[in-house]
Order: sequence, then structure tokens, then C-alpha cells
Amino acid sequence: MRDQLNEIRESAKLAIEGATSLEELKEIQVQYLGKKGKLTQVLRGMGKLSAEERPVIGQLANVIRDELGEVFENSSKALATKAMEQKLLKENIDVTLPGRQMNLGSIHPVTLVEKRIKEIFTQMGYTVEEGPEVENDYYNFERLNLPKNHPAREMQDTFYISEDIVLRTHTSPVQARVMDELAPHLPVKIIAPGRVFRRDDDATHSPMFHQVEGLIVDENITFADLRGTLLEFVKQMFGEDSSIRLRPSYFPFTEPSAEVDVSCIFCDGKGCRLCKQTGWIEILGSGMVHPRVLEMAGYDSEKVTGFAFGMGIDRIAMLKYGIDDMRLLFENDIRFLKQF
Amino acid sequence: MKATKNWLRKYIDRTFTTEEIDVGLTQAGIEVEGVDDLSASFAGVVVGQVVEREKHPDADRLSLCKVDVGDKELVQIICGAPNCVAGMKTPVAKVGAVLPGGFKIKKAKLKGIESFGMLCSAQELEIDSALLSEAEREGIWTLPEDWEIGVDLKKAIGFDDVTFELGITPNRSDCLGMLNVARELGMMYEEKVTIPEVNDNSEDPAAATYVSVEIEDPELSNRYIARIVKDIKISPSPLWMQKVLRASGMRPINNIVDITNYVMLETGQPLHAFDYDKLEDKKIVVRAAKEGEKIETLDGIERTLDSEMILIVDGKKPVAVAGVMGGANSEVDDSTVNILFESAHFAYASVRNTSRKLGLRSEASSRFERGIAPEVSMYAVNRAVDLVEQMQAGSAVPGAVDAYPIKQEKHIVELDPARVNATLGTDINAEDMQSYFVRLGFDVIKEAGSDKAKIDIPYYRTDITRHVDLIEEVARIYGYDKIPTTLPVSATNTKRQKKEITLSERVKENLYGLGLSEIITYAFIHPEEYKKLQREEWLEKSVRILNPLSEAQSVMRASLLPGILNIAKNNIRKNQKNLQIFEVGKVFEQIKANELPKEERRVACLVTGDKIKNWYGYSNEIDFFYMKGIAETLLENLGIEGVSFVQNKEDSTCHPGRCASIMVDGKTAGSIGEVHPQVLENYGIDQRIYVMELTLDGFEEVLTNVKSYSELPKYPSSNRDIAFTIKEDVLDSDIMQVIAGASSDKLVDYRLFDVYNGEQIEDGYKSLAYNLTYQDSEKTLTDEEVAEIHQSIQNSLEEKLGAKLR
Repeated sequence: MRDQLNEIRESAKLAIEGATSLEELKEIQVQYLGKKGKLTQVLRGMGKLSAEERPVIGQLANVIRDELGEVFENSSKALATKAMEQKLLKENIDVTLPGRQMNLGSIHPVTLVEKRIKEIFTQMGYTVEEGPEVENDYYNFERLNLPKNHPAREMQDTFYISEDIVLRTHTSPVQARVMDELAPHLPVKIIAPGRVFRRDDDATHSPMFHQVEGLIVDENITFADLRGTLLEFVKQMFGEDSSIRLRPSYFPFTEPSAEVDVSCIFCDGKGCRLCKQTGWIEILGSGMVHPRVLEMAGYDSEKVTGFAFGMGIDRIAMLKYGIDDMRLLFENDIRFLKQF
Repeated sequence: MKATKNWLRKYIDRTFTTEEIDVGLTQAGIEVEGVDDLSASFAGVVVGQVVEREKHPDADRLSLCKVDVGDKELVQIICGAPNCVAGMKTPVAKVGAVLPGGFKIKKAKLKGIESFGMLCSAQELEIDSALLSEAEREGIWTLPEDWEIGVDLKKAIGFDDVTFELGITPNRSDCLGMLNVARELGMMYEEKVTIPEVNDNSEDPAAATYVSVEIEDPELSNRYIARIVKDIKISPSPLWMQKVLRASGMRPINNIVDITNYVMLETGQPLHAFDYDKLEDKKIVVRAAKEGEKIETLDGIERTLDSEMILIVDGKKPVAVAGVMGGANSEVDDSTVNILFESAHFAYASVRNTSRKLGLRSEASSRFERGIAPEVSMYAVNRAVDLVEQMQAGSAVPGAVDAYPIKQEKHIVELDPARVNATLGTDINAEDMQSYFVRLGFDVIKEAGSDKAKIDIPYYRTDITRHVDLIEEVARIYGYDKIPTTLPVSATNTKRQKKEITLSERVKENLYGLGLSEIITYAFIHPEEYKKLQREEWLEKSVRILNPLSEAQSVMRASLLPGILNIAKNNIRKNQKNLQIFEVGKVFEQIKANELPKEERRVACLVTGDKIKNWYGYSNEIDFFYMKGIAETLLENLGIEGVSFVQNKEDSTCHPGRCASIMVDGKTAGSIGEVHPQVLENYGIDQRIYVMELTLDGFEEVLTNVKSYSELPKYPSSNRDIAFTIKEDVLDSDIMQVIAGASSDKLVDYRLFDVYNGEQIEDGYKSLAYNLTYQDSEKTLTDEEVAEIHQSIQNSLEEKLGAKLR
């Protein structure tokens, strides 16, 4: 019987080693250790053994069972590892193939810049406002200290709908509309982005473009506040190293008025083709709100002051993205749009 | 407005660098739009005289000349110009000279004879033809006989100068005169400005015996001065005057014309000279023209006037269109003996309209249009008369006839330094502030024991009338860049952002996430667009522009579709055939004449393109349902509820079988569909296009909707499929309604997952399959309970819609 057991041990080991798959191994396990397996059958004959032999053989059988169990276990692990390796090998892919195309659109550069401007000013406590694009002459001109036949109306070539209705030539009428709504409440602190229209069409002018108006009215607002606010804006918009230069100018609705230049973002103010060697690029017009404008809105110009500014969004977008022809903004070539 | 370095030098005794003038004027608030160094154009060209001229022995058309260029010996030059004659003075480019464009003059041999230079035409020197008479434009340039030989031509013609193109803001029309530009420059550099003195004998009654002046309506003109000069000798003006005029871009003509131009450029006051003897009644009348009245202007063209124009009449006949152009019938010419100088002030709006209507814009009219201080008129006319006498070109009749119905207001404004500092955020002391006005040449009247002072505003500064105007002067003289930078200390802003702005932003973000690219198109379109869209009726309610740049931009859009379709067309033409684009913008509708139109905010989307073949198969199958998916997702993300899509066969822009109205709570909010093939043909597009247009007005409130949490289900759900055949024309929305109606609240979800109408399906029928999800929030549903609800749905579909279960 001892020989029988030893022979089972050897043949089982051979069979296990020869197994090439987990399934095969499972079969071998059943064949030897299963309920009807060879080892079990041998042990069933134990009853015929003498009392002295029985514990000895029993112990041997247990040893063999444990031993084979261990061999099965090891072999099984090895085969599983091998199978996993084979699976992984089979599932190899070319990771350099392009990914599945996801659809993301794009936001127009003018909107992107407008959004940034809104962020900067809302952080400073301004509220975003809007007004109509087709506007009364009254709001577009008269309320901005530009009565009919004022020579300064010539500065803006106007589209007319009727004698008293125009396509707004700037976002400034929103100033008057908001002040009408709020007066005599203080402060007025708004920006107003939107489309504006002028009779002009070439590489640097478009008959429709976008502006942002800014207005603050309160007690003790100073020209220094205007300078500080615009400096903060250009630093956030064009970078911490940017600086501004104010030049005296004229707008009927502000006084003193200033044209504002930003240090050239292409050459850091050293002078290049884009800033015409001056180191400065004009980006906006601004000034202290003219007392007449405050008075027409019902504010006491002896007690309150304010500043206002207006900038071309399209122009800033062109500067920021290095776009050299304004018409590209409105051609909407998908290859252009997708770059943003 | 042009300023020149040499001219400014006449008033300020300092040689400024070009840079100093540029910076100084800019800081003063006068924009320097361009700087032109006239001396850079050519070099080595002198005034020469052809002493001898004979024919070239071997070439009929060439002249062989001996030319005096001021050197010891005459120079031999061969010239091809037919107007080359002995005795003439002409520009000579000597060997070594450089002509415009870098062309270098070298010794040359022409038909065997050597030539040491070149006689030049004005064109070769790139002289602006506006500066030349017709004769001067032909052949080599004939120079005046009295010009000195050997002098550098640039010096002789005044091109040893630098010009500055100035942008004068509307408030500073005084700077349309060189004197006031000089005043600004002097102020910036604290230099003395010398204003030419003039003889003022205007009170002398002598002039009144020669002429009378009558202004019919002060609205047309509030000042008209006439001065008489007798015994005029018409001749060229002196060289110094010709030079500055030429450098300023004006052609010298004769002494009288040049004086009027010179004084205009100097003072900003346009002058006109009449031939006194051609004035019939010796009576100047300023009146409105009559409708259809005619006058032949100096340029020989007969002009028809209207009642908005102002006319100068000599008592009998019109002699000038006020502020625009004189009449041919009173023109100063070589035989003129006596002249009348006009120095006047006309209603600027009228001059502006007149010069536009007649197409006559000149240096004079553009100055009248900007408005001139009437007080300047007397100085200007006296200056002109003085110049005539200095040139010995005539003798002045003392006195001026001055019709001046509305005297210019005098302003004295009190300067309050505390208020100036409070507005500027500065700390400038009162004395400094006062000194700024002294620098400007204003009289400052100090107030004892106070910081305040009265500032006497000179007449020419019409822009200063109130305290804020003084603040501006202080700011610019102190220097804008010296003012500190602070941030406003302002109370918290309680104004809230308008919801419609936020809504537009949300729509853009969503569509960007859904793969669409934003476009921005013009708000005005061609009226023909409506025809192309098969929506001609929209033209009636469209807002029209009275003065469009072109027909193509003449009506305000009533829909976003023309814009987006044109962009699609343009991209497709450039072979960009797969497009997913959108625009958010306003459309306009005329409700009542002479009232603001209704502006409505909308979004339009357009998708088109082929299936794109990828290495993993196909993607982007764009069809109606792709567009609809975008619409549904957008509306859901915005939180708009109660949305349904109702078939619409009436929308003439869309395919009648592939179009729906987008309904929200039973109201039409927009439309969606495949563009009608005829419309595509009208646009020249040959691929299917899907569009939607949706209003955003009225949906602002959804932004305030607060989402509330609903408890997650505790009990499992069970799924059942249902498949049936049904008549082809039964709509999905009808089936959904039946399913929803037949089920209890235990049906929590249903989804169509198969549509089939191929083989094995009876003609006129389709096979549909839905997956239904049942769930109870209180317990686990038993199979029996699920079966019961499922059965009732099946029954309903059979009974109500004739579905046949498969």
C-alpha cells in the first residue's frame, strides 16, 4: 500500500507538471484528490490494514495529500500568472493612435476678452449693465453733452434710423440710462459691454464693433482714482509689468478727458512696428464725468463726481491675440474660430 | 491741420527738436498724427540757370546745356525736356545728388556727349502736385526768375522744414491757427510766445464810405467785418511766405491770395478777398439763399443753392457762398485795383451742410465748421491788411465796417484750488495753479486773503466757460502722469446684474460644451436675405437704416438665420464642410414709427456635415436629431421646463417634413428643422443644413430656479422591454403620451431603443422597442405587480393606437 501511495505521489506530480492550463489542472486535481480520486480510493482500503500499520499509512497519506495540495496550489498560481500574461500580451494596443474625437466648440475671441473685462471689473465691485443697440438720439448724444449740430458729433459717423433714432455709436448712452434709474442713489458703479455701430469700414474699422463702458459716480471720486483703476485693469488684462500713459484729449461728456495708452505688449515698450516705435498703444478713452452729464441725470455736480471710460473690445482682442485685420473677427472662418 | 517747425520758430525764439515739438504738443493734448521731415526727400539739388542751350548734334530731342549752378564754372548737362530753354531757372541735380527713392546722379554719356547732372521736373522731386500750377507740372520745373542761383532747392521752396500733422479736438478749434499751437508749445516749455502786433484803426469812419454791411439774420452770421485796400499790385508773394505756405501744403498763387491763406493758417480765421470794383451796390448783405438760386463759384462751376445755405450778396447779385467758396463774378485777378477783405463768422452747421452738399471742403470751410471765436475776426483782418502794406502791395483805407449783432460773451471764472485738488486727487498749491494760467497767457486776478483767484479767459479760448474747464487746464499743465494712482473708496454697490446678461453667458458656455463654435455677425443685413429665406413678409417689420454704407447692410436683422447661413456658406466654399456654429445676439422689429424698435435676444445654431470616417469607425452623423439633441440638452441645462417639439409644416424656411416648433409651456419659443432645399439653393449651398433659432427673452427667471434634492431610491428597480409594430404615421410623442397615461407612478423611466421598418414588417408599419423602468419608493415591486402595470400599458397601446405586440 505504501508503494501504491508513493506511485500516486509520483504520477500526480508528473501530471501536474505536465498541465498546460488551469482547466487541465482542475481535472488532474479531481482525478487524484477528488471524492472518487485515486488517493481517496487507496485510503478506502485502509480498513484492511493492521492496527500498527494503519496510523503509519494514514500519516503518509496525509503527508502526500498536503504535499500534492501544495503542488496544485503552486502550479495553479503559476498557470494563472501565465494566463494573465498571455491575456495582457494579446490586448496590446497602439497607444499612439488618436483618441476618440470629443466635441468641444469655441468661444469667439471678442466674447473671451469681454468675459475677462467683466471678471476684472466685477471683482472691483462693478455691476454689468446693458442698453439697447438702437438708441434715441437723446441718449446717444444729447445726454452726453452733445446737442444737435455740436461739432463733436462729427467724430462719430452715425447710422440713422430716423431723425431721432440712431444705431448707438458708443456704449456711453448706458451711462445716462443707468443714472436715470438710480439717481439720486449712490454709488453708480457699472460697466456696460455691447455692440456699437459707425459708418466706417476698412482694415482697422468695422461698421459694427464692441465696446465696454465704465462709469462710477459717488462722493469724492478723483482723477487719481481713474488712473488707479485703469492701471489695475491693464495689469490684470495685459500683465503685471504693464503701465499706462494718459494724454489730454476731448470727449464732450468728460472733463478733464484722457486718451489712455498701454505700454506696448509686443515689445514691452521698447518700440516696434506694432506700436509705430512709440512703445505705446492706444486702448481707451476716459475722463471725469462732465458736470453737465451729472446734472442732466439729476445729480448735484457740486457734491458728487465720477469717472467714465470706454474701450474697444475688438481692438483689445486683436492686441491680445495678435490679430492684424479686424475683418477676421467677423468673417467667422471656422479655422480661425477654432483657434480660441 | 499742419504745423511746421520753421513757422513755429517765428513766434518762439527757440530751436526745438522734432522730438520736443512732438512730445510737447502731445502732452498739451494735441495729437500728433504724423511727422514728416521734408528735407529727407532729396539732396544735392540746387537752383540753377540754363545759360546756353543748343541741340544735341546726334539727337534732335535732346538739349545740350551749359548751366550755372553757382560754382566757378558752368556745368554741361544734357536734358530731354521740350521746355528746356536758355535763360530759364530750374532745379539742377548735381553729380552726387540723391533724388527721391534713393536714385543717385552720376556722370553719364548720352549719344557720345558727357552730362554732369540732371535738370529736374517737379515730379522727379516728388513734389505734391497740389503745390504746383498746371505749367509747373509740365517738363522740367520752371522756377521764378528772381530766385538766387546755387541755393539749395529745399531751402528755396521751404522744404528745409519738418511738418506735424495735428489732430485738433473739437473743443480746441483755436488750434486750427498756428498762433495758438505756438501758445500751447510755449506754455509746455515755459517759453515766451511773441504774437505779431497789428494796427487797429477799426474805429476810423473812412471805410464806411466805401461799403456797408448788413446781416439779415444773426443766426446765420454774428459777425461780418469788411476792410478795403486800394491800389493793389498783384505779384508773387515774398519768398518767406511762399515757403511756409508750401511746407504747410498750400500752393502759392499771388500776394493777395497768399495773404488770405497765410492769415487763415496763422489765426484760424478764414478770409476772403473780393475785387471791390466788381461789387455793384457797394453793399454787402449776408442772407439765406433762396431755394434754387444759382451762383458760379471760383472754380467755374455753376452751383444750385438751397435755403439752408448762406449767401453773400453785393446788393444786386450773389458774390460768394458764405464760408465755402467765392463767386467767379467778384474774383481777384491780375487787373484788380481795389479789394475788400472779408473776415466773418458763419453758423457752423450751415457751412458744414453746405460744403457737404456742394462737395466743396476746403481749409476754410473746415475751419468755419469747427466754429471760430468772433473776437478773433478783427485781429485777422487787421493782420492781413498789415501784411499787404508791409509788402507794399496796396494801401489800406483806415477803419473797418463791422456788423457784429451778437457780441461774444466774456468769461471770468473763479479758480478754487481746493476743488481742483479734490477732483484730481492731487495736492498742488494755489500759487502753482495760478502760475499755470500765467503760462497760458491768461490774466490772473488774485483775491486777497484767499487761495482763490479770478481767471480772465481770452476770447480765443471758447472752450473755457466754467470751473471744470479750469480743472482740465490745471491737470494737463501739471501733467496727467504726475497725478497719483488710487482706487475709489466707494460704498458697496447694491445694483444687481441683469438676469438676461447671465442667461446669454450660460447659453454660450453650454453650446461651447456641446461642440459648437461661436460666431459674431453684423446686426444689419441685405433686404434680399428675407427673399432667400422665403420670408419676404419679415421685411415689413424690419428696421431700415436711412444712410447705410451699402444696400447689403441696410436693414437690421429680424432673425439670426441670414447671418449664420451666410457664414456657413462662406466656410463651405472654403471646403470647411463640417460645421457646428452658433450666435447669440439681438434681432429687431419695428413696432411703431419713430419709436425704438423691439429688441429681442436670441440664439441660433447651425449644424451640417458628413459622417467623418475615423480609424474606429464613423462619427458626427449630423441629422435633424443631432440638432434636436443639442436643443434638448441646452434647454435642460438651462433649467427650462415644459418643453415640447411640435411638427410645423408652415415654416417656409424649413423642409416641411423636417421642422418643429419649440414650445415651452404651450408657447412657441423657437423653431428647429432642416433648411428647405430651395433656401439652400438660394444661398448656393449643396449640403443638408440643420438650424434652430430660439428666443432667450422671458427665460431669465429660470436662473433663479433652485434645484431641490430628491431622495435616492431605497428599493431596486426592474426593467421590462416592450416591442410592437404600429402604423408609420403614429408619432413618438403620441406613444409617449399613451404610455404615460396608462402607467401608474411606478413607471419612472422609458426609453425608445429601436426603430425598424425593413423586411418582415408590413408596409406602412414600423416596429418600435422601448425599455421601461419600474420602481416603488416604499417597497420592492414584486414580479406580479410589475407585470400588471406592464400589461395595462400594452393594452392601452393596442386599444388606443392599434399597436401589435411582437
